[in-house]
Amino acid sequence: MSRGHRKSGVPDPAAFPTRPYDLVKEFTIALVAVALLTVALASVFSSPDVKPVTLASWSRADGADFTATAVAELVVTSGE
Amino acid sequence: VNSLHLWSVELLMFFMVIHLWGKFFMAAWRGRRALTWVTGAVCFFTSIGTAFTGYLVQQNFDSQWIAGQAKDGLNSVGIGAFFNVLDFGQMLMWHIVLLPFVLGLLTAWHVLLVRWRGIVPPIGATDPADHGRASPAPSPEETP
Repeated sequence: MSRGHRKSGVPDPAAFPTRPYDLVKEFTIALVAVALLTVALASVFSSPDVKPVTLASWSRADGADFTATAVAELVVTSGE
Repeated sequence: VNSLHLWSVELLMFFMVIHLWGKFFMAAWRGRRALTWVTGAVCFFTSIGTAFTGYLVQQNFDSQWIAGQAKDGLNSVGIGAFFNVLDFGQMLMWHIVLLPFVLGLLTAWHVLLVRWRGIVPPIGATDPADHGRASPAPSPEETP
């Protein structure tokens, strides 16, 4: 792709006419809008929040299975 | 809190993808702006890594399943010892310390590059001082 004869075919953005704007104001508006959108989506759709699977929950749910697996690991008969 | 965390991430990823598409079709890397584009792309990939480690620290069945799958992939490229997806503490620190820190630095650099190099003029735009000379892609309507 060849663009123009100059090293860069893209003009300097500072060469164009400009108009004043308030960056802090625009940032604040964007931040507030996104914060409100987040709260709205969270309250409407919530989230799955699936609880962790832990050794404690496993041993409580099926103590015999947990004990059998733990003993098998200790005597190195599992995974062989 | 969990829902706010989830939906702020959903929005972050959504707006990042919109920004990526917009800048891609604008060819915003023109005119010595390659580094701006590259830092943005690295930010995007770092965000994916941050989302991944966040997913792993949930420790629910899906999370542990994906950690088990990812472990094989990462071991096959030889980084499993340095980035151990089965290590809950390591993934938690990647998620809340290392990756956010890197992401913050990259974002600051990206924004500063935009300020230093300026925003890219539209495709086919010519320097107002050169008006009347041949342009690479003249626009059909002349702006006053």
